[in-house]
Amino acid sequence: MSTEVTKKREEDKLLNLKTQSGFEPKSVYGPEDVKGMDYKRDLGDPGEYPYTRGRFRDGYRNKLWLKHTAFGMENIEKSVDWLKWLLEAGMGGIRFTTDSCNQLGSDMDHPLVKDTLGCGGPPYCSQRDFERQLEGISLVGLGIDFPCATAAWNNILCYCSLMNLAEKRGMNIAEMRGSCNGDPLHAEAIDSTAPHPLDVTFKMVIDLIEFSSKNTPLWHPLVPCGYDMRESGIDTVQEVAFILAERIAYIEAAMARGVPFDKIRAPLQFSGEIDFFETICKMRAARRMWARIAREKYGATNPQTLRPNCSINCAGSSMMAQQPIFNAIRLTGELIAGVLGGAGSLEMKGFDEPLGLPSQDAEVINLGIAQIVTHEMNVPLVTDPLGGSYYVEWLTNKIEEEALKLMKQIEDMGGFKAAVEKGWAQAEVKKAALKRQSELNNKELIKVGVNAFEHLAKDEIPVRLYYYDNPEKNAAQLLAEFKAFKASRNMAKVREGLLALKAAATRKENLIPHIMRALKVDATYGEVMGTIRIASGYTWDAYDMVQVPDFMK
Amino acid sequence: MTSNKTSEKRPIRVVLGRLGVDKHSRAALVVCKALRDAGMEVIYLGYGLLPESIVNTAVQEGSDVIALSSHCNYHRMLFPKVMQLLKEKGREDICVVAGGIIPPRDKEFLESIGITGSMGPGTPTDEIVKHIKDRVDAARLGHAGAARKV
Repeated sequence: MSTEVTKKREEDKLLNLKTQSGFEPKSVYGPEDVKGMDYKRDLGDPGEYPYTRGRFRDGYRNKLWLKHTAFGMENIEKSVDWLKWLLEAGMGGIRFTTDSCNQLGSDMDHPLVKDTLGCGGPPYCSQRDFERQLEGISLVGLGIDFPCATAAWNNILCYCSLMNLAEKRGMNIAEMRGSCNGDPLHAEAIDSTAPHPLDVTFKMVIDLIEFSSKNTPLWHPLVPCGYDMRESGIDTVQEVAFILAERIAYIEAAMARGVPFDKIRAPLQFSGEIDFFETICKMRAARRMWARIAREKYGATNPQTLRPNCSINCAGSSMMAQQPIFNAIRLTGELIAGVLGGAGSLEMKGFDEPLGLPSQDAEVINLGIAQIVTHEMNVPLVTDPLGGSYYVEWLTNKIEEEALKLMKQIEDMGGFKAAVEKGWAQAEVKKAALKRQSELNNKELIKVGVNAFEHLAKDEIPVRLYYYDNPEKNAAQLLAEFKAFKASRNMAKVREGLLALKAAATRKENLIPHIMRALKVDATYGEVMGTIRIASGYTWDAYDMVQVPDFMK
Repeated sequence: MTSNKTSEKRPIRVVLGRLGVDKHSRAALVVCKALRDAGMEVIYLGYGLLPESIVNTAVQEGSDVIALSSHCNYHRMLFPKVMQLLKEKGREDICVVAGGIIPPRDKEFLESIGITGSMGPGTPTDEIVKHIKDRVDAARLGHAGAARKV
């Protein structure tokens, strides 16, 4: 009996000695590992250039991080009730979900989406649908995030709809706060066969940056995103390098249009992956890297552009379907790492992310985690409390060193846009996806309950998942309502609005004001995208399953 | 009913894709490679597929297997259409397997209509390969009911 216990004790040890991205740290770090560092040059106090230690001296004493969540049920009515509950419960920031038609930039009756409406949240493809999602919700002080990075068109359509709504409610759009994270370069880099051509979507994003810099100066029109690429398997070094290189690509394109560098507001957004120290250190490294690029390369003087907001989006792929309650533990770790890294806003996934739409239990758990970490564990009390740790400073330096090498490689290719056009970024993402799987197969990457300690997932601890009845009936009803709406419109006005948009697109003007006007006269999201496509020389529909409508001929 | 099945040991041919607008591609990429490494022929159709397209391709290409990857909860609504189309074309001999984000209670429903597997993130790829091989071996031996037993 005692031999068995001894054997078990011997087997209870570290399964691997590498971090998630393959760093192989020593067992101990000391002064020799940070020799040559200069406090003022390389760290600075929080709130001082180069902002390694954070954006503000008082850190979270000023303001706790914005608690963000995605909200979206199977239809708009349920979603609005749900949103009211979330705001009451303490969420400060909301992210709209993207159902299939929003992913595609099509209408609800498109053959590829009409049978699955509501599976990914409420579908919305008109000004009217958009407004219904915010009925009875005050826009004042609400942090709104439009997703998703791989559907830049949806971001932009939502922005236009929101500004229309704000004007309707008598608000000054110059005071609107929120962000659009449409990132077509990132979308192309993933093997997702983006439905709309890069030249069209890239221009739309630059249009948004230009419009926003003049009309909605508090809005973030750009959040260069590594999230989906990270989900696909790239590591921390690639994530930092790609995010910063993308940033440069978009910013330089906007500057070529005459937008001053200091007027381009774009946060740094990272994936909140499971490796604790990598998350903390990549945020510190990226803040320093960006501050130096902004000042030395672009002469930035605006603190907003030198030390942009840093946000974390917890990694969906870090959540496992086996023994789902364990994901609450993973989320706790990811939150603490994000807070220690200085995140200004943090979106947590539901613990049930791998199993369906987020349940109410998932939101309660996430809010509970945030409040316990804050008020019981006292984690946010001191700004950058790990600053000065030999390991943390070493790892921050190491991530920066490797990411700078990769950024040089991208620069030599002509920048991130060129790297995507050449297919290089896509190849890197594919390689990373296969590498991650092989690491899981070989147990170089451990997932508890999945490829190690499987006995802990044998009996699933009961959880309450969100299910809704009769998805077919829900989809059919949404479709019927949409068709009725389309038939009820003043088609002369719709046609006029879309033709004006088409003319502007043909003349390569900034499309944002024209999209806003078209949406105000009830053009649908699919019709707006179709119009922009045909003006740019493409088919009305990305899959050629829907033809140019008669009223547009 | 026409069938390309013979008793010879020819490589298993799989058509793999994602119905509807499901941009989660990593799993499909990884599974394609695993199946090819195991000696299977894989036709990867990507995403943005209608049930008709994947079924027509499978029939035209003489495939043994249709592998459906789903991460957006589409399986309840779209997968039964695949089975219905196969039935209409008299090609119920083509094995249909699924994978991705499929909750346990939906796995039972899919099995009841003849779609097996429903393996999720973290499944070792050799388990997926074995499952497909077992299904195809049983189908080639002509056991139509084997779909529900494997």
